[in-house]
Amino acid sequence: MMVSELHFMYFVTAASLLICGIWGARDVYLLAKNLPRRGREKWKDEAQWRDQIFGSVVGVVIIIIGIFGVIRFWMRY
Amino acid sequence: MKFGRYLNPANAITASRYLTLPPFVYWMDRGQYQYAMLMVVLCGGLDLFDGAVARLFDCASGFGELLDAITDALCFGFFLVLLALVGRLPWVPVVGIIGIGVINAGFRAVYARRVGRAVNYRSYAMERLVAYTVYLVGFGVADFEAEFFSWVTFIMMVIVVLHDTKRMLVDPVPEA
Repeated sequence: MMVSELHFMYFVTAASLLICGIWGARDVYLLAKNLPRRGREKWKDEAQWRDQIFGSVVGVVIIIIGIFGVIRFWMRY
Repeated sequence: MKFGRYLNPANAITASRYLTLPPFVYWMDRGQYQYAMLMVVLCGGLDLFDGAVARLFDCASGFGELLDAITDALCFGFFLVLLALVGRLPWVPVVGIIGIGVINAGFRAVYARRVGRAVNYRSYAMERLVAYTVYLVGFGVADFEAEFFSWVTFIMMVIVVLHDTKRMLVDPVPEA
């Protein structure tokens, strides 16, 4: 093993939260950009606009689940 | 410098991802999970670079995109199955995730037929879910709430595939 199990879990936690932060910020930004009327008008295709919004919502849900999973792990560790 | 459609730096990077599979099996078999995790990170990391290299060397091609998609499916499918085999991930959601992935690929072929040309339906939600599956592999290797994350991924995949199936098979297709 490269590091102890505890340090490995610290690493996994830090990596998870870092990715959650970057990914979450991107999806919240995309929602804020595309959801209002001015953002919607930039899309030629209404269906593609809906796909983008749905994708960002799924992204945000995944982030929330990811953070919940990390908290759940440390509460049971 | 001009590169061919098949032999180019981007496809070489994509193909090199298969080299992470044998050491992954070796270290999982010996219980060296941290080294196995390195292989997952390397495989996922190389996936981020092949597109950028294709643009840098101006060698992007339809074949490259297809090779990338097939490599994603084979490498991450392999990781998931192996983790289920060694008991790090539960079987039911893993089989569900892979089964839904196969069904989704079939629907994409039907969509291309409906459109009448070789076109891929871009699902922003599925892009995120595929990335999440990479993290699921990492959680499985680290034994980090792997069961919880497996079931969540499976449930999210069902929701996204239901949405995408309606878009691909029911909604009007873009004109040629």
